[in-house]
Amino acid sequence: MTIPTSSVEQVIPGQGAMAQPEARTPVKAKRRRFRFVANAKAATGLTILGLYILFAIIGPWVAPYDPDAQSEELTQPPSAAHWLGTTHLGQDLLSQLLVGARGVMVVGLAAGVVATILSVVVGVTAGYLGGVWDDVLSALSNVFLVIPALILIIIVASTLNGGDIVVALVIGFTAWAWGARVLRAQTLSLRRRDFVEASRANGEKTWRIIMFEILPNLTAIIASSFVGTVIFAVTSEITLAFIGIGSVSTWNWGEILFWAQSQQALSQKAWWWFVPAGLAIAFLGTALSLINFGIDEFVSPRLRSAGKTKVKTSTGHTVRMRVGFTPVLDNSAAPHTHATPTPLINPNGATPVTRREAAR
Amino acid sequence: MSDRVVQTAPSGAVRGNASSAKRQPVLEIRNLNVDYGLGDMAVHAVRDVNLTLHRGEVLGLAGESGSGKSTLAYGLLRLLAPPGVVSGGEVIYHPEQGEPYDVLALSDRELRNFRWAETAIVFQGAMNSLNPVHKISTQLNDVLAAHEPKMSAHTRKARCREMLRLVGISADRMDAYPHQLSGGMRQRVMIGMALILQPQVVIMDEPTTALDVVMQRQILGQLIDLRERLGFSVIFITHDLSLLVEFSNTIAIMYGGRIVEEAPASALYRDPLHPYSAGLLGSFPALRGARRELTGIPGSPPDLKGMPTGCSFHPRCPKVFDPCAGNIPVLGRPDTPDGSTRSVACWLHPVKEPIG
Repeated sequence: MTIPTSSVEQVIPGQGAMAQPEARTPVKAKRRRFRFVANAKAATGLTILGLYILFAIIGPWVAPYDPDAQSEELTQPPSAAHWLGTTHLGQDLLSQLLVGARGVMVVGLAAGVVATILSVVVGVTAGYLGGVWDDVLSALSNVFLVIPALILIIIVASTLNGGDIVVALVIGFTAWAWGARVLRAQTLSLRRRDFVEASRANGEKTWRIIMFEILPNLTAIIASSFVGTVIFAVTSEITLAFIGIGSVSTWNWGEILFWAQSQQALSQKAWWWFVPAGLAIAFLGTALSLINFGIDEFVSPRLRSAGKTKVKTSTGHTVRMRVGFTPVLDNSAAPHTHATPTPLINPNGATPVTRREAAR
Repeated sequence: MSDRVVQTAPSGAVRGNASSAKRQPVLEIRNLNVDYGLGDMAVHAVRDVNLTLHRGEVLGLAGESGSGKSTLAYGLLRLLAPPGVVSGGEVIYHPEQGEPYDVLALSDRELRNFRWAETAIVFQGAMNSLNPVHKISTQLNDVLAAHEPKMSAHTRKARCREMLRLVGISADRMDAYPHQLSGGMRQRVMIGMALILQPQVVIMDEPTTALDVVMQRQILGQLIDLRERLGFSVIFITHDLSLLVEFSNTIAIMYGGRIVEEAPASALYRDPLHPYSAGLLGSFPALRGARRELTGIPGSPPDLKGMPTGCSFHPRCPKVFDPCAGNIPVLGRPDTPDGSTRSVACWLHPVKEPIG
């Protein structure tokens, strides 16, 4: 059926869809290149993480003392000479902290990368391909899930007795299973969505569907599993050092805690021995979590906060926008637009008022 | 029951006119402005709306998609999700007893008490608003428990039972779960839920859009019935102008965030003053009278980000003339014989006395 009368062309010949105002030259949409950094959470997280990476690189050079060097000042509280105090052997704690940063960061990030790659490959393959692939890969990740990871790491690390990289690889190869399971579940739900079905019907190649349709939807999960694995790897490595497994030759924060514990720093009230190392670990975890929140909002448009959310209301309070209590910016009944009872045109002017005949 | 709609509606409209001398306002909206976003990024979705709802009347709010109908309704109750903000105006509520007060100036706690007890809302697609894991009696009870904690459990139960009966659901359905009811029944439960605290004003945002016409008729008939019994006022939002003509007292037409015409339903139907109202009325067939060709409204609704200057309807208006493009017309009483009962914002009908 045709609807000739309501067609725009017939009602106003030759003018088409004239209802829209002249398309204003679009205000050049500013490319918000640094949108991710503009997010306060991501910016804070990245700044803290940047500091850690910086000290992981330059730590050994800026450390004021050799972390192993012993001195006469035993178990001294923080002073001008030793900013974070000394150990029972007179070693400088600040130097130990700075030198130890590298090992922690290398192990954490390397293990995170290894585990994330493994979990994406296993999880997405199992979820998307299904069938035998799914059975085999799911069984594999289930096996890795029930292996007590820390004990495996202890056994392998103490047997291999290698450096940081070995520890990182061991953690990476044991910590991927949880991420793989989550990714598999999400992929299973995504592969039945209409947009994936449509691209399959269009004849897109499987790799392309996975890379361009499925993976962008998994970014938040991948990022969170990466951050989670990094935190797990850092704590695992520190635990290993704390219980005395791992390389004795290199310093890391777990080593500091190990000595603090074995010398009963707590009962000696030597807080400077373990508090800085503990805080360093806590802040690293905080930074990674903040980055994770930032990534969540960045990749998911629905979570993205619309810029400013705090507004000043008519009562003078500053409130956060929330559903159900829409802020009232101005409570006066004054009109906002200039509607007038009489048109502002010159009645004596040359333009006569031309009413088009009303076609009833 | 199905005949009742036809019978009561015109008489209701007539009575609204006859008793216009002693109409009492229950909700007065003065220059309400609602924006989405802040500062320069703001989109002005509702601009300088002046509207008065009278006690016991049905005010119909019609307009195209995106004309600001729902935003207006949610804005006046401060129910908009971020980034919506009320950027100006007053909403004066007249309680049955006591002094009128401004809803927009209420504190959060006062607002919580005000909602539902004084003004209730039935949402778009309300039948999906019921929680599927609770019995409808539990959900009705919840409202009473929250707003009238002193009421005894027995009284609450009796009240729920009565409310269900009022909306035409037998009381033995009290313990049903939402999935055991039909769409129309769920909708009626929602309407009953909105009415259970006996509010003065009920806002209905397209309550019948998802239902078939038979069910629409049934629910609207019941609504009219309930309104006569309980005496609340209704703001009824819909695309369906023909529906409004049938059962509302006053109709307000919105376009581009403004009220462009407000008139008694019969007057608007017989003699629309604004070309946009005429266009809306011309786009559905009349039940009686000579056959006429349906005319649509050319073009599409305006982009709220780049509103046309002057009257926002002028690029689509078949009767556009000189002042339209440069001047925004004010909503006011036109110079027609029935001008004192209606208002319009159009340069074709110069306004003597602006309202609001």
